[in-house]
Amino acid sequence: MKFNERWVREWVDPPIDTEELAARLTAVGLEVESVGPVAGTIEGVTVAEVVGVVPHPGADKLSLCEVDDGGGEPHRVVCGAPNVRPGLRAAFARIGARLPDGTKIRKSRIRGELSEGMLCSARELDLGEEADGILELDAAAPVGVDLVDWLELDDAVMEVGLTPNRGDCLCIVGLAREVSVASRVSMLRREHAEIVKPVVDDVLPVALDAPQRCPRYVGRVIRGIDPEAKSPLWMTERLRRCGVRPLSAVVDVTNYVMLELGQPMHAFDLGRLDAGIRVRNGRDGESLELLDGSVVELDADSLVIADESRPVALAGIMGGLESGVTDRTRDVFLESAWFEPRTIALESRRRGMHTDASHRFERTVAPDLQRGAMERASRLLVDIAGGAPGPIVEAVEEACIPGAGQILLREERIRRVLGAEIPAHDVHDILVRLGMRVDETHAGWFVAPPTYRPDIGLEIDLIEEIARVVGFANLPGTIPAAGLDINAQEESHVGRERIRACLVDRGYHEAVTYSFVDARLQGRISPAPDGIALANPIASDMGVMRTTLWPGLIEAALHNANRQQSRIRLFETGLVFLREDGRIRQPGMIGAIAAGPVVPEQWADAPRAVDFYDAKGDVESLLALSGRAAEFVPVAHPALHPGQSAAIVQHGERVGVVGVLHPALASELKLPGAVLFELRLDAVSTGTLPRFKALSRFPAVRRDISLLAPEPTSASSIRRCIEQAGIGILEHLELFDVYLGEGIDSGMKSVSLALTFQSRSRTLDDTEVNAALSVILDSLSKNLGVALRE
Amino acid sequence: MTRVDDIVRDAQAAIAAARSPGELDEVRVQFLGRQGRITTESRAIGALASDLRPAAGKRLNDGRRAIQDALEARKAALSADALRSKLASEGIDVSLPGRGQSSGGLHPVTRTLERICSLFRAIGFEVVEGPEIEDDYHNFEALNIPAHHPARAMQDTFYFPDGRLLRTHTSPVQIRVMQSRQPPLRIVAPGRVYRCDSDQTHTPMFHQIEGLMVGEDVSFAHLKGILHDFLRHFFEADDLEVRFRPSYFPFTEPSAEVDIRGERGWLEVLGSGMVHPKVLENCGIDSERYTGFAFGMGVERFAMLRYGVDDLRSFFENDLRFLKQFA
Repeated sequence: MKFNERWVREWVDPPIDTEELAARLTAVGLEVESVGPVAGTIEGVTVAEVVGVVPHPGADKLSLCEVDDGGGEPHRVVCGAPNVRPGLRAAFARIGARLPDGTKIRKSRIRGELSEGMLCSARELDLGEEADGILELDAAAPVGVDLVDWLELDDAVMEVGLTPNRGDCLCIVGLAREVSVASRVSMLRREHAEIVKPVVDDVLPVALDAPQRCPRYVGRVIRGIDPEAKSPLWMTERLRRCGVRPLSAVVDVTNYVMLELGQPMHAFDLGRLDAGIRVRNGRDGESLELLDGSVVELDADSLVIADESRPVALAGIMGGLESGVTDRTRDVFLESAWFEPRTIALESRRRGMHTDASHRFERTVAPDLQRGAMERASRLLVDIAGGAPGPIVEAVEEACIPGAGQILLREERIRRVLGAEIPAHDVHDILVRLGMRVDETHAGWFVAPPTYRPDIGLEIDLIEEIARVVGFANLPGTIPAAGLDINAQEESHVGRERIRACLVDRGYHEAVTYSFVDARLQGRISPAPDGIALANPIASDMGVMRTTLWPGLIEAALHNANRQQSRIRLFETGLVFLREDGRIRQPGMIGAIAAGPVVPEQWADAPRAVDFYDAKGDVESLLALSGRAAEFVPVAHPALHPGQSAAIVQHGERVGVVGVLHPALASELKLPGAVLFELRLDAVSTGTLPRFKALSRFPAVRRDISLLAPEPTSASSIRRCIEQAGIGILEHLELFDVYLGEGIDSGMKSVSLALTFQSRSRTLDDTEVNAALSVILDSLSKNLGVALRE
Repeated sequence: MTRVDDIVRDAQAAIAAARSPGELDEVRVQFLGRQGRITTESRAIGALASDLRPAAGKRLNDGRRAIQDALEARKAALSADALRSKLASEGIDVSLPGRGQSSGGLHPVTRTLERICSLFRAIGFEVVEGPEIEDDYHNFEALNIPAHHPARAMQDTFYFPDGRLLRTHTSPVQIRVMQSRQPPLRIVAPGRVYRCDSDQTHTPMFHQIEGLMVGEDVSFAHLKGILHDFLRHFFEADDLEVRFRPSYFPFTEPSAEVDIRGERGWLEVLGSGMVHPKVLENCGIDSERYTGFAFGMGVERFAMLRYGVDDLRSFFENDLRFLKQFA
């Protein structure tokens, strides 16, 4: 809400400066976001009267004017404005004056005629857009008075960021009430407007067909206004300072009342209404063209103002184009109504239409404000544009108007919630200043909030009011004392910090990528390509939820590759989003991408590109955190090289995948040689407790053997075959060499193993070890066709 | 018997002249070997008269010992020389970089999150997480934000066709915790949140940490005390100026925005308040018996203030030149 300080000070005028006023408002919860002057710097401009106008002898469009600025001798001024005329009061910049854009007025000669100053347009004074003519001041403007004083330009515009509960502050009166509370200075004026007596009998009947949604509708006919009438400068200036563009007398008046009192109003052209007003639900098939030219299709969710034949306004949001006032309108019908906030909120959101009116109605307008606002608007309109008001018609369904009951406020509760002792008389005083009716009772107060505070309905609302008026800065801050219960800590759980640290220590940088990704990229690389799509994505390449961390990591890798980063190590932890049997699962994952040399460019070793086994080593270090074994099984994956990719399997369950980016994809993406992995976080975080096994006191015997195996024989099948041979004294098995090439038949490979034998009860002799070895070799030969290499 | 003295003198000269263990050995053979001069001389003793033999034998033995000592000394000196020159030849350039991987680093947002979590863990808060695809109930309804509430228009929500949504704040985690446990509660809930908004100062995804403390006597004074303490410790500034300003959130009352004084005036860093009694009741917690406070903070904002990052969007570009600065 934007407003000017002087308008508020007309209602309450505390002896504090602008800065302090802003600070007090912020301190009571009306955050002042900006403070600025209402106009640029103007010096030496006064109210003057044009006393004579004669045509310029040398130019058709210019006039020679005699201007009286109250200083004695009139000044001669050359002026080109079409509206300059004798008797006009105008803003006169004398020699030496300064205008907001920095212009300094000098004596000059225009087409041969001397000009001793300038008559200013609104734009030259930075008071509006109007530049076609000079600014016309009120006929009563006192000649010789400084324009800054006359127009009260030593004024400030403040913008307050209002929270949605404070609809009551969307007007000058509401802001003034807060200033009064915050500064402990009473309001200067009462809000009750003068009653404007009806002069004619004309009325338009009003029927409330949807009383739950509109329980009060106040209407009034005003006949015979002057369609040419212009809003006075004091009014257009206030509108301008509050950020509302002046339009026409009728519209300006309704806007002015809305800004002053907080009641949105609407004006219809009476001649275009058929017989009577009916506030009702919309009907399927109806449509309405609104003031902004848009057409809305109506249905029963819409609330409309209709006449006897058709809808004429979308209630509380915007009027209809056809029934609106024009520059020819002489008879108007004014509306001042109360609409149920939820109806307006849902309709304005559904229509995507946010107006000054809907903004206020959905934040709840005081339900007893309508008649006063009508009187105020009548007074202003009749004063400005003449016209004969009819009697006010008020249709009301009292039962549907929310009423504030009494709220019990307990002294003890204030203490418990705020942790502070607020003296009882302070509480009482604050509540009264806030316009509440307060009755003391045992252990507290019964409080009735004023109608303009519909946001207050609970005890806690009152406690908040007390807290903010006392001032948060004045409330104590203390460190709570709490029970020293120890939070449970599962020792076998591997924390996220440890998991991240593992990859960081192995050279990876952590990335954070968006959870929504490009559906096309994800479709190419995910085995679960159907990501859950957003209904309202912010961009087409952020349309679906990720089913894997890889699209984001690949994009991040590309971002870096395109910026001359040759070595990329990125990882991310986060949720992926899967649809399974109609349900949504959101498991946590850890994923990584690596590309470029294994180690940063250096002097010591020959460079080598990262490969499958580097990534697998990283995966194995992660898995080692949990101490749970995993197998790596060849797997087909759309994003990965078919011969260099593995599923990571724990206890028969697939928990991740690792592999080389598919060469076709790699060349398409220009990301050659990238290696990726992704693991379920729970596969790493769910660990086991160590279990101690006694150490053997007897020496171990190591035997190295070289085997000749058919090439497809996997290392894990050899290991499994040996383990399954059931040799109790086999303590450890390590594969230390794989060789293909010269000396080995094609289709075969040499595999070298180190076998360590050890007993817990005795020193092993050769016979025993040889026997064990021959069992192992038999098993290898029988099951895998693997023989000892001679 | 000056001959022995001569031999010893000659030997000492030869030993001193030997430049390697091999040369030294040649000297040893020349004097002490089977054909060596000392050996030859000892054979001559047999030809002496018996009364002269003991003195001659002693002289000869003294001479042999002197030569042997000289040989030992020279040998030690030579091997010390050899070691010295071997070590000298093995010198390396210690200023060359060490071998191995360079280490990576945490994302500044994670770094900040971990710092915040660890400060709260230290005072007994438990870290809890929740889902990011949420339902309307947990994200809005239970938090006292009904469908028509103006606060909904303040948060542009990402929706799914089935009505589910991406959580707009971490507050639904509060609800999930309070639904499943009774007070006393002390939790922080870090995580990603989403708003349909993207410009210089907004990204459609960012991070929050939610905090919640509920108990029998938890008050607004405690909220002020803990947050003030937290901010001073987070920024490691004992004289940090902190301002609590009344505000409005549907799920807390009273509500406070918390500002800290920066170089260019007050900066909003936190939203907070006393948990609204309706929210407690929505979760089955007796709001007469228990009170609580909650707070939420934007992690990127904290990271920006702490590390001097000036563009929010740089957090999500994952540029290694950016990330490496936080390693």
